[in-house]
Amino acid sequence: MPWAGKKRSVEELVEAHYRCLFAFAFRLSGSVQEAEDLTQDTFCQAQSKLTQLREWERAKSWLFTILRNLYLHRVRASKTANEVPMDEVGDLPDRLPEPLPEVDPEKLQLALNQLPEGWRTPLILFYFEDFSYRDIADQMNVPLGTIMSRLARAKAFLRGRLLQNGAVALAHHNKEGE
Amino acid sequence: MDCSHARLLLLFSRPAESSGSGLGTEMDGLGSPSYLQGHLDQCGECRELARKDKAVDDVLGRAMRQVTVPTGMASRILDRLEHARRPSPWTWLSIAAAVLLTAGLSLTWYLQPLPYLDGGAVFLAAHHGTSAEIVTNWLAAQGCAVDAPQVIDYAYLDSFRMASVQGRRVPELVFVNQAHGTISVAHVYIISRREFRWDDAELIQAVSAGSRGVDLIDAKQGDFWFLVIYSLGSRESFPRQPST
Repeated sequence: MPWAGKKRSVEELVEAHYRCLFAFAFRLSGSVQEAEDLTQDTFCQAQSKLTQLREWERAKSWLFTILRNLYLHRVRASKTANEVPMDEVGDLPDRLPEPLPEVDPEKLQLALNQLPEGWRTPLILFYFEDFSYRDIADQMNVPLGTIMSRLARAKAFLRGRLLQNGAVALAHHNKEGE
Repeated sequence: MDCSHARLLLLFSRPAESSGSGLGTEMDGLGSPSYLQGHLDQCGECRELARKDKAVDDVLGRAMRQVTVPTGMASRILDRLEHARRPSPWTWLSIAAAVLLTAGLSLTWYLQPLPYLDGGAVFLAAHHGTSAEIVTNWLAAQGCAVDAPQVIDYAYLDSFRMASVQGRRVPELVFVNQAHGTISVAHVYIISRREFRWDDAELIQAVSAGSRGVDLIDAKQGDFWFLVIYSLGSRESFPRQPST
């Protein structure tokens, strides 16, 4: 009976991937409630489109793509006002404290919230470690070189915001402080 | 490989991969990981930079993955999926409404009364300019062995048909006279004493109450009688036969 097989498969997907999907959704949205909604919506959509999943090994990447699209659909009309312009982000800071302090996850989230989604998503996926650059590029439908460039900028931003002895790596922020 | 090339490659190394033997198979487009590793083995400055980069990625990665999943979330997702699989009440209502509508329309079509085919009208249409003879033939076809009543001039015959009287099929001739701007209508029923019992006086009195006049005429053929009812206009509008 095909339906029974489908039901079992969806439950398998939930069991295997709901934690990492929620984490991804939380880092994308910065909200626990929105992250749970996104995760649930993702599995609902996956259930209705399960026949489109040809390779079971690609399920995780497929689910992440669904979740990101759902998120983009939600935020399409509400562009975040406090996003930083990424062309003003500097290079990696040379001087970092030794030893490195642990990063407060809440401060990390505040910094992530300032990144445009196109930079935030590859950064999150990069640190989740499960996705190759090619996976990230495929999910976001952008060239591999673009992903690498965005990652370098986004990492520089995070290091400057969170690790560089309180200094801010944003040129415009420096100007504001002068 | 010089230091600037090595540092470019370091920029794109993965945290997990850099912690192991090398630096990522994904860097094939930029240079061989083993070359980078070879450079790091020889260059203390780049090795120190790589160590710091890895430390930064480790710290940021730990913070990034530090997300507390809400309690009971898996069961909530499964509940939602189960709920999504069930058709909503509106879906059932829509299906039920569609079924009822289809059944209703089918039943209406099936039960609708068929229009009565007026044999007299068909006959008249086929025989323009009818006559008593044609009516006699039609009566014979209906099983009435009686000549057409010679009560009213057949020039005024409008139609004839088998009418339903108290559940029995009875021949009915309808005469219409539109002379002088008034319409007069007379109905002639050919009735049989084999099908009905009646008292002449009572029948005439009863029918007269709702009409413009009544005649009950013995057909003098079998047990047939002609019941003539003037329902509209004037009884005198129709020329009467001497025999009545």
